[in-house]
Amino acid sequence: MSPRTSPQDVKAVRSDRVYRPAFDLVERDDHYELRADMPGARPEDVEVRFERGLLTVHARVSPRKEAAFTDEYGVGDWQLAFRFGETVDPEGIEAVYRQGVLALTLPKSESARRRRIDVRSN
Amino acid sequence: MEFPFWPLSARLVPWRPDLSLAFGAGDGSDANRPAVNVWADDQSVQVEAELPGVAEDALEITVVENELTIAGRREPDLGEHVRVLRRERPTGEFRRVVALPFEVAADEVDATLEHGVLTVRLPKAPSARPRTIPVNASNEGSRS
Repeated sequence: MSPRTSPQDVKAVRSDRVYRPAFDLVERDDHYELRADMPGARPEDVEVRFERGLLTVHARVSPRKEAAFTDEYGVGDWQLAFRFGETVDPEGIEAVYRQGVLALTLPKSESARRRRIDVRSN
Repeated sequence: MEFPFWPLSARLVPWRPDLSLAFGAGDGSDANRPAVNVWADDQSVQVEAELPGVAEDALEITVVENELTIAGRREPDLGEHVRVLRRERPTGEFRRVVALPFEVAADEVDATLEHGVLTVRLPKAPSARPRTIPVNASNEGSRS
């Protein structure tokens, strides 16, 4: 999959403001789970990529009405980058976006699982 | 122990300060008080809050006079028996009371929850809508 943005269309797809979402990351025996709060995006505007050990998430959020007298949070795109390195098998990554939360399941790579077994047997 | 993760996000984009501790709490100090954006025109006021991961049936919206209350609960969604590498998202009860700029028609309030964004539309009460008061010129002579 090619990058969604090329220099010519960056302005067309990216909002002025970009925010890093709050996220949780947990580890289980054979996979990682990541949850990121990215409210306000449509599911089709959430892009997840994994390239050379680097997970990147970008969600385009359309500007909403400017607030008139109470403006406590900004609205803009969500962007998150996280390096997993060799520990994740890119082929098995699954992504679901629901209720404004992106849920990622990232299976551990064979090498990461082997490492864990080695530790246990000591 | 060597930690295999290198979060790059802080270098790529700034933290959204109002989300660093909370459900977007404006003061950044209370995870149980969601932030709101509010705007109004002549006819209505709209209140918006980001409530990702909150189910509709876990949300309670009430209007009493000119006060809107948004309350609810977000359940943890990652289960137990896990090794936590990072936990930033708040869970549990939350509540926010918003003072409205005018009295609203409570029975016409409309709320939608879409992609984790709550929008409450509150039409102005008939008594609070602007009225043009006709001036009665024939009162002139009745002043005592």
